[in-house]
Amino acid sequence: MKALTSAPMASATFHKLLRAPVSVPQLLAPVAPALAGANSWRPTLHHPCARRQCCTTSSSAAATAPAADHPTPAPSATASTSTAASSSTNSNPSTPTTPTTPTTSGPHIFASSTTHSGSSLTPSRTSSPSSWYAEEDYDVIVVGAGHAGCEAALAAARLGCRTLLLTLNLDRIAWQPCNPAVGGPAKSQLVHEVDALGGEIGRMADRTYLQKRVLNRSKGPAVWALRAQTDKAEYSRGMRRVLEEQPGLEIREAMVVGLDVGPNDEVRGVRTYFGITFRARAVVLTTGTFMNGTIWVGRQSMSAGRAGEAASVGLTEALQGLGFETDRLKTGTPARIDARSVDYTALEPQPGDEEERWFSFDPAVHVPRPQLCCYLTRTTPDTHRLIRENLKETPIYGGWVDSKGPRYCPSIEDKIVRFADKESHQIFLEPEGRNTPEMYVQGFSTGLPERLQLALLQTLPGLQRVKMLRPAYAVEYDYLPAHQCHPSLETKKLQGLFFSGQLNGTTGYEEAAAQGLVAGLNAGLRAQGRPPVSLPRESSYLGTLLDDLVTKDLREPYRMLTSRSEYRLLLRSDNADRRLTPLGREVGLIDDRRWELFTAKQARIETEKARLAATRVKADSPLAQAAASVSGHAVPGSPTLEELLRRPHVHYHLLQQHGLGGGEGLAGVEAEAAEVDIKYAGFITRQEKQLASLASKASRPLPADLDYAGIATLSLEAREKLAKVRPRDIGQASRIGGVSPADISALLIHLEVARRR
Amino acid sequence: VSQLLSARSAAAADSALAGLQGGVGAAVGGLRAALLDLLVELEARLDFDEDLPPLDLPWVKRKIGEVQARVDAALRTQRAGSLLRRGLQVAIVGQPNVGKSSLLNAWTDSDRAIVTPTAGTTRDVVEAALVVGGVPVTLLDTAGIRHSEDEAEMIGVERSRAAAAAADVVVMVVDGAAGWTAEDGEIHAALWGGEGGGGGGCKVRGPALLVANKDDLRGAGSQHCSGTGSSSSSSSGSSTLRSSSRDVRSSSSNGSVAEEEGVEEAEAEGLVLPPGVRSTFAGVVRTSAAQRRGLQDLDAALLRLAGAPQLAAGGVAWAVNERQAEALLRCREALSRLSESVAADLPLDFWTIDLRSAVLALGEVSGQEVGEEVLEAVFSRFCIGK
Repeated sequence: MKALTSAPMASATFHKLLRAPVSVPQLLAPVAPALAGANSWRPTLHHPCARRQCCTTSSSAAATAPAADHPTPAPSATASTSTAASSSTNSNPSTPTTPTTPTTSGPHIFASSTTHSGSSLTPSRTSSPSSWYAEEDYDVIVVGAGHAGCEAALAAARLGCRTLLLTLNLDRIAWQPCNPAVGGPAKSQLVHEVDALGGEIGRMADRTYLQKRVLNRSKGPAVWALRAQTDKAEYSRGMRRVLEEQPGLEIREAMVVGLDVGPNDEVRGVRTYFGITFRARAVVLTTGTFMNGTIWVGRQSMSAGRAGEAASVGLTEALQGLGFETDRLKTGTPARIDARSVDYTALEPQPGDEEERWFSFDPAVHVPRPQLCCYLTRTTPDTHRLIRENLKETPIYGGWVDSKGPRYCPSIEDKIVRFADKESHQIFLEPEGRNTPEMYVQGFSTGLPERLQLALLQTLPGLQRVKMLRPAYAVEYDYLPAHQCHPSLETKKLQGLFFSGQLNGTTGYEEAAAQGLVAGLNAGLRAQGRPPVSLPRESSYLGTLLDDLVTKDLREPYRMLTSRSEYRLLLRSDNADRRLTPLGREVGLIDDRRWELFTAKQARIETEKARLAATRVKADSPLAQAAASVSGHAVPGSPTLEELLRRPHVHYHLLQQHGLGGGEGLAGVEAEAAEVDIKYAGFITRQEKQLASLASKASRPLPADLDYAGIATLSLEAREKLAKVRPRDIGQASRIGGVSPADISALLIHLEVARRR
Repeated sequence: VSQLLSARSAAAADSALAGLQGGVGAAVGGLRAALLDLLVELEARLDFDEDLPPLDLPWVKRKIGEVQARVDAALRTQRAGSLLRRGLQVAIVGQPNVGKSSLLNAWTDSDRAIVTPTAGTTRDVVEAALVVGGVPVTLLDTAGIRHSEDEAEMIGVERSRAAAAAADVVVMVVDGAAGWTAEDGEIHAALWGGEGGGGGGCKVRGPALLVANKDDLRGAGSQHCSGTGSSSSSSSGSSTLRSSSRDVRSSSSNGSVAEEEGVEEAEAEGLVLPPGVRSTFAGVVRTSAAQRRGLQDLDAALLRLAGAPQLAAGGVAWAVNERQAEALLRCREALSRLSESVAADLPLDFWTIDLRSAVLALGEVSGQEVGEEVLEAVFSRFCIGK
């Protein structure tokens, strides 16, 4: 047995913790009020028990009262309760356990079933000789309760797996440590897709939004992007409620420091810092920025997964011991300010859209709420001067940190140095909740020391007398380059071990949620002995994300962008359900209610398309005249409504204005879906054809044991990269950086020669 | 590089080198960069609209037009490029004993073909290589075409017809002193499908030149007339065969001037051609194989026929090959679809579809990946982010 004992791990851990910077206390000071329970969670030699005590209290309280620093009045808590309750209808109703009852001992039998897989039995096990603590048996264990962990745990549980979700802090479930927003270009597509597969992020964003806007509205439907500002605390509470109400899912605080691995390189469970071994057939790691996390403010650093929360120590080393390659990435978050100290008269309000749109395809969560404003301010000459005078105080320009942050998230000093001719940069102020004065200062990340941060904020119009609640900081953390995973996110080394979320080098809640869903789904399938599901690159942004992750080298945290998708015209938000919900149904993530909603909606769209194709109007009818004048071309003969819709600038609402819209039951988004299908049919068909021809070439499989080093016709770089990534097919091989088209031809020839022998 | 290795002449090697060092690579690369530039402008607006100034639409449309024009220009070099690589096959046909073999020897500055006063010496097709104006040329000397009882000779005649049919250019040689004869008429009919043609399926498809050889045997006056042109050609004509492409360009551009005069002279001096025959030939050149005169005129006429004068004149330093041309064609198709999208006022993200395929099409020249490049450019050009 290759079990990693926790004892040496633990002592290593303590050494690390003891080496934490001496200056930590001062640095913690500004954020300390926010820490409450989390602060004492920092394990120290002196108070090992105090922490447990504290967390027990805070977690039992958390169901009704949120984190200590966010006093939240009753109204929103009730709102969250009622919406959360509706979510339970989404889950499979047949799991016969009370998830909140802890199972404390011994072998037991747990029957779980779904409509698809029937019942599956967790094999009973006898106590492991190395474990002195009571043993727990699960199908799937998810480590980390961020946006990846929550989706993973829910997906596994919804498949009918007995699932355990372990987190460092039950009060920070689905926390939004950076900006309080969900969606935006490309990310919104991910959210729609996760929703189409029965995931939770879209429903949560719809329930807890503060404001919604559709970006890119003037562009084509493929790039319309819904973005919601969300209530950070409400989101976290709401997600916790969903987890708590999910049958078959248990949540528990623990720091996982090691894995239990069986003789055939299969994962058998996890070991915690305090010495418990939880057994499982599949384990999903979603540790985010926590593995050996270090946060930086100016020159000061401390060990932390994010401000105020202890890092997870020991797991990286355990994974390295198992042969996994790890690396480090860096990202950051700007300061939070007190909304009460902002002079709004100097700011430009940014209201939400009047016509609200939704992430989820589930109408149960389409409940409009009053919206809050964001505000726009700008950097001034004073801002730029202050930064230039203090450049040596910033990590990059001061020269004590060489790794640069992500390119799409530059610090304000970076913007000012690199775009010196730009006189001003816009800065958005975003509320973090309905019941907190905290505001997020978007566009103002900085590596400057805390003493300069407030002065810098006060150079912005409207913020002259602002109070800073939390300083901007950067975080460095271990990640696992995802070429070590299959596209199912199962690791290539250990059967049953899955990685997902920021741990894989991504950034963003949406990217994390998307991976979490896939990892949780596949972990569940693994536990049930069913074949894995992988989403092809062309199927979805989700598939594109997975393919990029397991194929490409990362230089910065990976963010989803529309330009990463080659076939985005096919991967629209309006058809995410059409693309993915049947798959979700097949594997067991979509319950009967959602499936009926889906099929009824698709039927209405098809009926409407048929009606549009069959209904003709006369050339001199008011509609045809209107269409002629809008499109600038005369209408010949008696066109069908479909033909009219194909014309430039003719939209569905023109039909409605002339009383030729669809029937009562047809929702706006459904009419829109029909219109998009018709209007862009030419382009859509063309992309579909390209895709088909591409797929036929690219799907040629590459043997897993192919000896790339021995193929002399490949360039040296290609041999190295191919041997490292071990692509599953020619398509993936061609997307690896450093593998040229010439290498691909050489590879094809090699395969052909080998086949003929 | 493979093109460089297989280059058949100095000009072809030059072109292949230019392809590597900058010529085609730089030209296609420049096109691709211009397209990528546009793509970056558009893509950046899709992901970071809030952070960016509005797009300058007229600028985008103008740029699209400019790139289209440049793609077209690059495509026009393809024909010249294909000539440089494959070379020209030139068949010399005519009656026995009009001096075809002498012409071949004179033209290639060699004794490749056996020449005797006896008509019908050449029984089989004789090949000889030379370089004309930088273009590799394969000369095919053929048996004189006539009716004969000799079986071997008749096989030779058949082969002559086949060679003529397959050649890129046919040079028909007649006895300049004797003028156009009835036998010449028969050959003409056989090869070009006149009324009396008995040549089966062997019809000439390529363009043709008429050479009036044995110019030296004509009267003294005509010799004087073509003197200015041929005095320079007899000195530099032989060097043409071996010289660098640079020399060739300068000398043959002189030659093409002289050649035009030559044609006019031929007409003026009344090499009387029957109606319907003159139009078969793109040009008439007087030569004297024995005195090696008029050869440079022949060079120039040949180059004009092959459509390569701009190449010889040094107008383009590079030419795209077929693979590159195919890429450029796909790029051009994508750009014309793009123009349609622009004209139909489709949303910006639709523009990116064909713009991306245009970049991809050209990317195959240098084999790069687009997505990451776009992002790289977006982040370096625009100030983006939270």
